[in-house]
Amino acid sequence: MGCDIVTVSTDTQYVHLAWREHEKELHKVQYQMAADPTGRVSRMFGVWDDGTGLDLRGTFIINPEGVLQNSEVNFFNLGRNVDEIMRKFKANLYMSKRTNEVCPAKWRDEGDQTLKDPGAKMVGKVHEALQGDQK
Amino acid sequence: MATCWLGPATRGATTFSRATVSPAVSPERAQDRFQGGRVKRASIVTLPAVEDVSWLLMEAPMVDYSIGVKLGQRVPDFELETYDPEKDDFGRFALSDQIAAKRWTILFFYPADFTFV
Repeated sequence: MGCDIVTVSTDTQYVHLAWREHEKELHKVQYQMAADPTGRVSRMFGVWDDGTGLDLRGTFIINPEGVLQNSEVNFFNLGRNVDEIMRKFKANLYMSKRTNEVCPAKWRDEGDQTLKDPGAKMVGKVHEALQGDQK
Repeated sequence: MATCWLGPATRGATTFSRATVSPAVSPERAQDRFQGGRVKRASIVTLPAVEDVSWLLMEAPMVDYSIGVKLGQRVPDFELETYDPEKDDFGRFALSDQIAAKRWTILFFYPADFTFV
């Protein structure tokens, strides 16, 4: 299923264009760069910083129905781990197709172990479930 | 007839129904306060009939951005102006377009252009 990455800052689209043309690191960039100079959408997502008028480093995964599936917000001084964002996206994509499974902490990609039908039977038995069906 | 300092003057004003709407201040006291205070009579408008709330909907913004977003809930639709490097042109991003196209979206907020991301 398709996914679009959209970057957002409080700069205008004109500055986005200028930055992309100026910064060689960005020449391979393909994603849309969105402008939120009024902070309207940034406020909605809770990443607008009143003191500076800038956005915190927030990442939000929205499914094709428009439902927010994941959020992560870092302060200005901490960059994001793109591998972790992709892990979360893949996990959400996987779980959207297999709604009776959940992805535990160590899940990295399709094929890794999941927990099936978590329910009353698994209470206090997560260790056994993670050890697999060998018993 | 009740008075209120909010909303536009409307047609079809009728009796205020206390059974359906309970204002923080009773209509009588609100009127006293307005007339005794700095608010001029001209700014007082008449409440519409309780069952006629169409003016409320018409005055409401298209999207209430202030309600925020919550995990597991639908994100209110929003639109942003964009620069699209692929087309080397300006464009628009709308969440409703993503839903129509059945596509996932990853929104990636960052402080400012010309800094590290």
